[in-house]
Amino acid sequence: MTAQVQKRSKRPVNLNLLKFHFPITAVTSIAHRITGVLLFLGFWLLLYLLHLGLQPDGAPRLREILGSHWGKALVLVLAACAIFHLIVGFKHLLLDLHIGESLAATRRLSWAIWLIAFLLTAFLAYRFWW
Amino acid sequence: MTGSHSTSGWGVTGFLVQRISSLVLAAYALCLAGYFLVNSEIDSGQLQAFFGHLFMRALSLVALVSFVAHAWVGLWTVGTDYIRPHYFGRFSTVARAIYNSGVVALLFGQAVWWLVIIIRL
Repeated sequence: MTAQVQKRSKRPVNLNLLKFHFPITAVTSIAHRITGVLLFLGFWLLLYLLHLGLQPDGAPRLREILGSHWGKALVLVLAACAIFHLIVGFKHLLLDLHIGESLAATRRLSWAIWLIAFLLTAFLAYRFWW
Repeated sequence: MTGSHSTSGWGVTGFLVQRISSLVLAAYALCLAGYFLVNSEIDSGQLQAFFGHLFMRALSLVALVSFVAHAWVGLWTVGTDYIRPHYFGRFSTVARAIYNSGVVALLFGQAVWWLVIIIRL
């Protein structure tokens, strides 16, 4: 390391995430990551549910899990994550095609993503919960 | 592995893997979502018939490979971005190695379980 770099690295760094102002695009981006990680972790539950669903004698346990409030909540959270992650993914593919690249467009897209994800999740909750 | 988005020479490959696997996973997820929305009351026999169909078995296998690749690229990027000397000091290299090993172990377990489910159909 050169003396110059050492000197520079000793400067105070303000990376207090609580003091940052996050535009909607940044919030969407971090939410894309968080939902991705949650889907990876929650995938165990989905595998277990599929495993139970395919067993001839798995129905009681499956009904017990999907009939309980925590089971419904977990599946709904995972479904919401999947919906959100999928739609942001579509936005990434649009950006790859150079569609919606301007700041105004990408902000509008981000708001639209939250709205569509919310509506789809609400529809799913309505179908699933009641 | 110093830059936040450096994939040490694998940048373009990672980018392409992420795009192609995302299309496969989107197709698979929409396929399953459509099936479960239309058939909300099903027993294990019907579910076996659906997942056991040759087309679905092939699609499940492709989706499994896509899932592992997609999750690996995504989680590797997350680890590389956040487990850095700025946050973890001199332990960052060890911490990142542990994190990556954990991700690989979990993905391996999920892949094996998924494979067993497909094979047993």
